[in-house]
Amino acid sequence: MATLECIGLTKRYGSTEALDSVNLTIEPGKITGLLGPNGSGKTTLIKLANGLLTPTSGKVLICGSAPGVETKRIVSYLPERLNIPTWMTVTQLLNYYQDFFPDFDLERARTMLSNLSIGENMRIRAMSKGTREKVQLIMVMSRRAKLYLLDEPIGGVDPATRDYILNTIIGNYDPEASVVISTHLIQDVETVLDDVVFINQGRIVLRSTVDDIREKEGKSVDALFREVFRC
Amino acid sequence: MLRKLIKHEFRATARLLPLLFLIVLTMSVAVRFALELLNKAELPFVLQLLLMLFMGLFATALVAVFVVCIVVMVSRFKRNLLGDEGYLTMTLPVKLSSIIWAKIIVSVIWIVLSAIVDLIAVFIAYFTNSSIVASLGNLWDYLMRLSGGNAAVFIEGAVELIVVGLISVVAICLNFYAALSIGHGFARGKMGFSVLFYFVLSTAASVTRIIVLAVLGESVFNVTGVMFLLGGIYDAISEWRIQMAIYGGLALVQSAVFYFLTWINLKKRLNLE
Repeated sequence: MATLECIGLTKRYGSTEALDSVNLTIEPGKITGLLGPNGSGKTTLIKLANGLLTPTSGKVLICGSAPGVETKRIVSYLPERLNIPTWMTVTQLLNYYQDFFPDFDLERARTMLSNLSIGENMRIRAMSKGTREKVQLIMVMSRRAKLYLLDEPIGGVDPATRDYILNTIIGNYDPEASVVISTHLIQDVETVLDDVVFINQGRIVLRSTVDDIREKEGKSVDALFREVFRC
Repeated sequence: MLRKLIKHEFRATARLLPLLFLIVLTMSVAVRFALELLNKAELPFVLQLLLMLFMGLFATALVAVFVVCIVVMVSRFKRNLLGDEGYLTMTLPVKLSSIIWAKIIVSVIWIVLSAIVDLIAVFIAYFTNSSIVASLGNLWDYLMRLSGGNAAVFIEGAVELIVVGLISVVAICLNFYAALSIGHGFARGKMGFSVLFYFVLSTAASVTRIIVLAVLGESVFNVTGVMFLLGGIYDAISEWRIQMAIYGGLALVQSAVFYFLTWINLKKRLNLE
């Protein structure tokens, strides 16, 4: 069964069409890049899959079910923005995740925090922006989820942090799980992707494996992206 | 899951209010000493003025407890559901109704605690041991007279009053929640719309209350009036029960409408940045 399935998925904000009849299937065990320029509909698609938005028409299914309490148990979501409560200490945050997510692996989280020398008594508010983002990623990747939806995980961070983020994603996701990475920074993520989906103005314009792009097109994903989205 | 949500809701809101409670209670002890000092000795004018100012400050602190309580409640709802934290809260594997109920329960507890703390502070500051006993005795006598000397009727009346009071506090909380969730569904001017909808909803509730009370109050008066004319006695207990039923019913309907508005807006019109 597909981990994520969109059937004729459409989302309109007033007269603006953010997604237009999107049909998409994400299979288990793959890292898929959801690639497109700013405003192409990537975040809208991810928000719909998380139940943060309601479709105008069509359906989005997670392991066969519409977004709801059951799907939220198996989806681990990294939004574009810092969503962890900044007044909490790391211990309180760990306790929060442990209380609500049955698949949260406390030991995995503690190991990753300790590798970064982040003390559990530290308050999130007292951390630098980069450290906060790392803590948020650690929480998301410490879940043994079936689907990871990562919205712009490497946007606005320095190259060293980018490497850390990508290594954390690759090193921690369950091989049976699917990972969807939304980004427009193709070059940085290209090496970790199995599949790519190009999205523009709310429509899927290309769906392929990374290997196919390299073999058939003789190009890198980044080069193809620049060609497809040339202004 | 509701229990866990309540636990974390308390953790998030308990950082300021207990400290404020402690300050108010400490101030009440100080006011008590100040009053005794003013009564016993002839103090210089400046000192008298300072003590009076301090008592004014105490009165402000009593009001501030409620104001801070409401501010904490509104700011928590806004940040936790409609701000960046909403990306986490709204993707927790729990029902939306549980999230709303956890917030209502915790807010009601804080508001009730604020009332209790204020009451204790007033007693500490202004009542001597003998005056407390006398006042409570007088109040008890008055209430017993009202309830026809029947303790069971009095307790029943008191329970009715507490229940209606609690439902009314729930309605107050939900008025804020509904306004915030409607206002934040707009793309721009979210707080402006929230304030606007707060006044729209509370005005609508007030107008409904006035109309219902005018209509029902008239009929209640007619019923008791007819009974009186027919040779019955004025029945304060029945009138109390009818009033409680009307006020309780109104607060319940108001809460239900505000709850629905909150729920539907968070479910269908959630507009996180």
